[in-house]
Amino acid sequence: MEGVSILFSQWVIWFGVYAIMALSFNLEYGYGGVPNFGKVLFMSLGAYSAGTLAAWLGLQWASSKAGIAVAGYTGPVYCSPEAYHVLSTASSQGWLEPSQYILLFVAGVILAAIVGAVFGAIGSYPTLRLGGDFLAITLLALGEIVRLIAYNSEWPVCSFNGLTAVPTPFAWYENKALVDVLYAVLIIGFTVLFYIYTHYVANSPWGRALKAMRDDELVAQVYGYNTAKLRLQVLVVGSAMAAVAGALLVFYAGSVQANTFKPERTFEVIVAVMLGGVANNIGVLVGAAVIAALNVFLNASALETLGITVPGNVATTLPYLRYVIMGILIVIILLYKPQGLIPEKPVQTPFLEKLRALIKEKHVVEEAAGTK
Amino acid sequence: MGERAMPGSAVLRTERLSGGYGKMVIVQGIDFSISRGEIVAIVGPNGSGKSTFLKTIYGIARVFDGKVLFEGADVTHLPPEAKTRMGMSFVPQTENIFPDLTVEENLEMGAYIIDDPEKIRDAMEVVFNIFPVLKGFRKVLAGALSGGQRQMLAVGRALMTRPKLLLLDEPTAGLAPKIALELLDSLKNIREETGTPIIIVEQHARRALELADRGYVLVAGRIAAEGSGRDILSRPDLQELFLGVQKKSLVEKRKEG
Amino acid sequence: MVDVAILYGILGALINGLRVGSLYGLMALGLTLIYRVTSIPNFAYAEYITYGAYAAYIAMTALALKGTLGLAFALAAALAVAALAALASDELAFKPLWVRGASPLHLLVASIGVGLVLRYSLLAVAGLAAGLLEASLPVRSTRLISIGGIASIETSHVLAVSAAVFFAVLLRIMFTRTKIGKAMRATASNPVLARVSGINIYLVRRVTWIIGGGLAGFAGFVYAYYYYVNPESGWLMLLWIFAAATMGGFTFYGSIISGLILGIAEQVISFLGSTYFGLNTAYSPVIALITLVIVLMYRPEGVIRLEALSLKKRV
Repeated sequence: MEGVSILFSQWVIWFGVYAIMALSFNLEYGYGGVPNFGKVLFMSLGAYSAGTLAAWLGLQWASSKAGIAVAGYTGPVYCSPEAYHVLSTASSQGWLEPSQYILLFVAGVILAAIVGAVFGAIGSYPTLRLGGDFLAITLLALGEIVRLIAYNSEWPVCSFNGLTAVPTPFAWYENKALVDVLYAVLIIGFTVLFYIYTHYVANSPWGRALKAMRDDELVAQVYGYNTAKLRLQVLVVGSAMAAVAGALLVFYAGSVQANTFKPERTFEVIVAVMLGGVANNIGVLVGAAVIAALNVFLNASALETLGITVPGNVATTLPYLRYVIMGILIVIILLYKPQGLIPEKPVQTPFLEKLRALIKEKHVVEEAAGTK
Repeated sequence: MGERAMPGSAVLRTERLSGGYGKMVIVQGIDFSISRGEIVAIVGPNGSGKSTFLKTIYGIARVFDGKVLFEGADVTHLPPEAKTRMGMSFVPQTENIFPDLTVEENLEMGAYIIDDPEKIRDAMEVVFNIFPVLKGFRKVLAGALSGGQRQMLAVGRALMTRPKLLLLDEPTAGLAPKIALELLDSLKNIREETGTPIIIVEQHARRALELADRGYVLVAGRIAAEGSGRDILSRPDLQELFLGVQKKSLVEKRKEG
Repeated sequence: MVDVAILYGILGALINGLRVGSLYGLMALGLTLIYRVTSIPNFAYAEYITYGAYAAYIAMTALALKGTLGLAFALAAALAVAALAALASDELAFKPLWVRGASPLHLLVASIGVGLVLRYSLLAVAGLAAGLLEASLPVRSTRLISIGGIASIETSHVLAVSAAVFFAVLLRIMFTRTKIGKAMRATASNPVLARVSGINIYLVRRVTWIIGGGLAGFAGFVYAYYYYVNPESGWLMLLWIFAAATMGGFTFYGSIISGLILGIAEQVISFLGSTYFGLNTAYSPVIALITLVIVLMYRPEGVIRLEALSLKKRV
C-alpha cells in the first residue's frame, strides 16, 4: 500500500510540475502567440539556481555546525564528495534545523522566480526579430546550448554528475513515507495559486491584449498595443513560472541533472497544452495530468507496484513507448482536433472588473453632469 | 436568345449550371455557350457570381447541379488538371503566376502537359508576339514584374498549351486604367494570333463589352441579359443595374436637365 | 615556434572537418529540398538518416555481406528504407495537415511528433535486440594516404566529400533544368496554379520526399561507414544540419559550403580549444547551435546564398 501511495504522490508532484509549465506555455503561446520552444531552458535555469543556492547555503550552515571544513575543490565547493557527504547526512546528524530546510526551499523558489524573470526578459529579444517556426527553433537551440554547457561544465551544477544532495524541505521529517505526500500537498498549493493567477490574468485587459496580438499583430499595433512590450511581459511571467516549476522539481528529487532538461521535456509540455486545448487553462490541467501519468506509471516498477507484472522485454521498451505515444498524440491532435480536446472559451469579465467598470462609468456620468 | 450559337459549333456549353462553395449556392441555373473564335464577356455588379461561375466551369468551385459540355463531351465533374489536359486554360484573378520562377520557366510550366520541346518553343514565340514586353524579361523572376506585366505573363502562361478555350478571371483587377486598356487590347491580338475563343469576366463592364462579341449580364447568380456587346451597352435599364459610374452620371445629368 | 605536432593536428582537424562538414552538408541537402518544396522545417528528418544507417547495418550483418558489393547492397537498403520512412511520414502526417491548411509552426510541431515516433520506436527495438544500441558497418573506412603518421585521408573522406559535391550539383541541375525540378519549384511557389497548369502536385510531393529521404539514407550510409551509429545519432546532429541549411539560405550549394564551414570550425576550434585551453571537446556542438541562433536572428534569409529565391521573412 505504501508503494502505491508513494506512486500517487509522485504522480501528483509531476502533475504539479507539468501543470505549472503548461500553464505558463499556454500563457505565452495560447494567449500571446509566442512559441516558446525553449521552455525547458527557463525551467532548467530555475532548477540550477534553486539547487545551487540550497546546496551552497545548506553546505555552509551544515559544515559550520558540524565543524567540518569543506574546501580545496577545483569546481564549485558543493560539487565535492565531502559536500555530498555533509549534505546527505545533515538531517540524520541534525546539522540542519527544520526551519533552515524550509528557509532554503523558500529562498530557492524565490531566487528561481527572479532568475527566470530576468532570463525571460533577455529571452524575449529574439521575439523582436522572429516569429513562428524560426522563433521556435531559435529558442529550442538556446535551450540546448545551456544544457550542453551545464552538462560539460562544473559550474553551475557539477557537470554530468549533477547536484545530488540538494536539501529538500521535508528532509527533517521522521516519517519518510509521508514526505512525498507532504510535498505533493505543497506542490498542489503552488499549482492552484498559479492556476488562479493565470486564469485572472488571461481574462484581464492584459490577457485580451495578448490575444489581440496573437490573432493579428498588425491590428494590435494599430489599436495602440506595444507588442514588443507585451511579448517581454509574457515571457517574463511565463519564464518565472517555468523556473519555479524547475525549482519545485529539484526540491522534490533532491538533485539536478542537466539531462533532465532535454528538448523532449518541452515537447511534453507542448503535448499537454495541445491535449487540453490552446488558450484553455482547465484543459491544460487535464493534459498535464495525462503527461504526468505517462511519465510516472508507464514503467515496469510502477506497474509492478500497482500489481501489474510485465514480461522483461516489454519492460525494457516501456520507457520509450511513452514518447512514441506522445508523438502519435501530437500528430493525431493536429489532424483531428487542432483546437485541443476542450475548445477555447470566450473571455470572461470577472465580477470585480465589472464592478470597477460600473463605478468608473458612474463617475464619468457624474463628471459630465457636473461640467454641464 | 436568337443570337445564341448552334449547339454543334459551341466550344463550351453549360446547361442549368449551379455552383458555389461549401453549402452555399452562388450561381444558379446558368445556360451559357461560346463558339469558335468568339470573345464572350461576363459582366455584372460585385458579388453577382461572375468569378464563381468561371470557377464552377473549371472545377475549382463546387458544382451543385447542371452540366458543363466541352466540345460536346460532359466534363462537369472533372478536376482542373483534367480540363487543362483536354484543352481548356484558366487564368485565376490573383496569384496567377509563379513568383519564384523566371518568366521563361513560368511559360514552361504553362506548357507542362506538352512533351515536345519544339511545340513549347513555338508556343513561347506566339506568347512573345502577343506580349513583346515579356521577351526582354525572360530570365527575370516573375515576382519582380510590374502588375501589368504579371497579368500578361499570367495570360501568356495560359496560352502555352495552345488551348481551345481560354478563361480569364478579371485580368485587369488592380491595374491602372491605362495598363488595363492595353491588356484588354492585347486580347484581340490573341484572337488574331491563335484564334482561341476567350471567356472574360470583367469588372470594367463597358471596356469588356466593347471588346467582346457577345456578353452575359449576371445579377445575383442568374443571367439578367445576354446579347451582343453593343446591344447590352445600349440598353438603358442595364446601365442603371450594373454600370455604377454611368448611373451616377445619369443622375447628375437629370439634375442638370 | 609552433610545435610540428600541433601543425599536424590542425591539418588532421581540417581533413576530418572536411569529412564531417561534407556529411552535414549532405544531410542538409535533403532537408533543404523538402523545406523548399513543402515549407516544412522537418525535425523528423534526422531520423531518416538514422534509419538509413541502421538499414545499411542490418542488411550487411543479417546477410553476412562483404566487400564493395556488400557495401553497394547496404547503400541500396539505406536509400530504400530512408526514402520509405520519409514518404510514409508525409503521407500519414504532413500531407493531410497541409491539405487542412496547417501553418509552418503546426508542421514543425507535427514533425517533432513524427520524429519522436521514429526515434523512440527504434530505441525500443534496439533495446530488445542484442548489438543494436551501437552499430557500424562491418566493412570499415580504410586509410588511403598517411600524412606524417598523424593525419590521414581515408576512403570515408573521399566518399563524403565527393557525394556532397555530386549531389549538390545534381540537385541544382534538377531544380533549374529538369521538368520535375521546375515542377517542384512551381508547386512550392503556387500550388493552386500548379494544379491548374496540369501538374500533379501530389506526385511532385511524393518524388520530393523520396529524393529527400534517399539523400538522408545516403548520408546515413556514409555515417555508418565511418562512425558508430546509435538510435539517437541523427537527432544529435539535427541542429547541426539545421544550422548548415539555414546558414546556406536553404540553397543546395549554400548548404554544402555552410556544412563544410561548420564541420571545419567544429574540428579546428575544438582541437585548438583542447590543446591550448584544455576545453572539453564535448562543447563543440555549441558552435553549431550558436551559429544557428545568430543566423536565424540576424540573417534568416541565409548567409551563403548562391541561388535566387524569394524566401519570405517568416512571421
